Amino acid sequence: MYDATVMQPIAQGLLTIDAAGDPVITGEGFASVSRVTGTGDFLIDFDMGTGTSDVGSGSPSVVDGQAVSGIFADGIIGPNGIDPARTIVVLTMRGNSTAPLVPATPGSTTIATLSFEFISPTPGEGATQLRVFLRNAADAATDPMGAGVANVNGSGLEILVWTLASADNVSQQAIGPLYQPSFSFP
Amino acid sequence: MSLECIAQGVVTYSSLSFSGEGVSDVTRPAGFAAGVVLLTLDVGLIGNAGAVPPGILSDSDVRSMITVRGSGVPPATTIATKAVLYLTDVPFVGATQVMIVTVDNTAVLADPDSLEIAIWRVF
Repeated sequence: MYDATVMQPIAQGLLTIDAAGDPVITGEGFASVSRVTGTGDFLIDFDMGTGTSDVGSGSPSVVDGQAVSGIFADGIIGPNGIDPARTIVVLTMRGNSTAPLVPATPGSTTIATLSFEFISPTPGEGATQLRVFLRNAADAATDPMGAGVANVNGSGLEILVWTLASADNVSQQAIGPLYQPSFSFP
Repeated sequence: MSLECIAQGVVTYSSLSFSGEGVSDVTRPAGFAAGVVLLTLDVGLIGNAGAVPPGILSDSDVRSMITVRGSGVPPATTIATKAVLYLTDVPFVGATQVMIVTVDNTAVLADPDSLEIAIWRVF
């Protein structure tokens, strides 16, 4: 099969709510999660260094012995983060029941709309955060589960994030041998 | 990080069938007239040793994507919510069945015409 565009997974996780009512993100590629306005509204930080254009990640304010201007507050030389135009996100709800074959609790979810936006806190950088918003059929903001337990809303939110790397566009080259051009001429 | 696709295909509800890879059977669990289907994963998926690790609230290292296919012109659907659960079936092996639950815009369990599903194991 010919891959018109290579998709590289850069983050995946499961967003749940702990017993204290705080959001928790597990998996890979995500550093932390917090609430924004309250119920159903979450801000997720990507791991530092996520993103194919993140060539200067982690560098201090001095490069090769020279002070570098335009340094971002966290010490990253841009461009940092991911390109929203080349990134694909999948959000999937897990059902609500730990006894899913009991007809009274069929393992459904009340979450009807799952939406997100990329957040770029620093002008000139790529997106380093993902804001996720969950609502029920009445358009009320809703958590993906109860505090530490599944409830009628579900038992967690699965998140997948891919970035696209086209073999025809080496300026957006991703990391790894699969993404290297076959030939390179000066 | 890598994702390995262990099953993908289309569930057609009128015939209760699956076309794709990684799923050997589609059934309707007893007690449900609509809105609930049970997919049985192929025997031998990744050695069938935890191909889909069990777990409801824990991170089970499996991720899914579900997309309803509409019908008519334009392709409409009444399905408002979709959910997935990984059912523990074999102790110390993992879930060998995946349940999909769909509910319409009146909060009633309902079947779509068909839906696409992809299941990945993450490493």
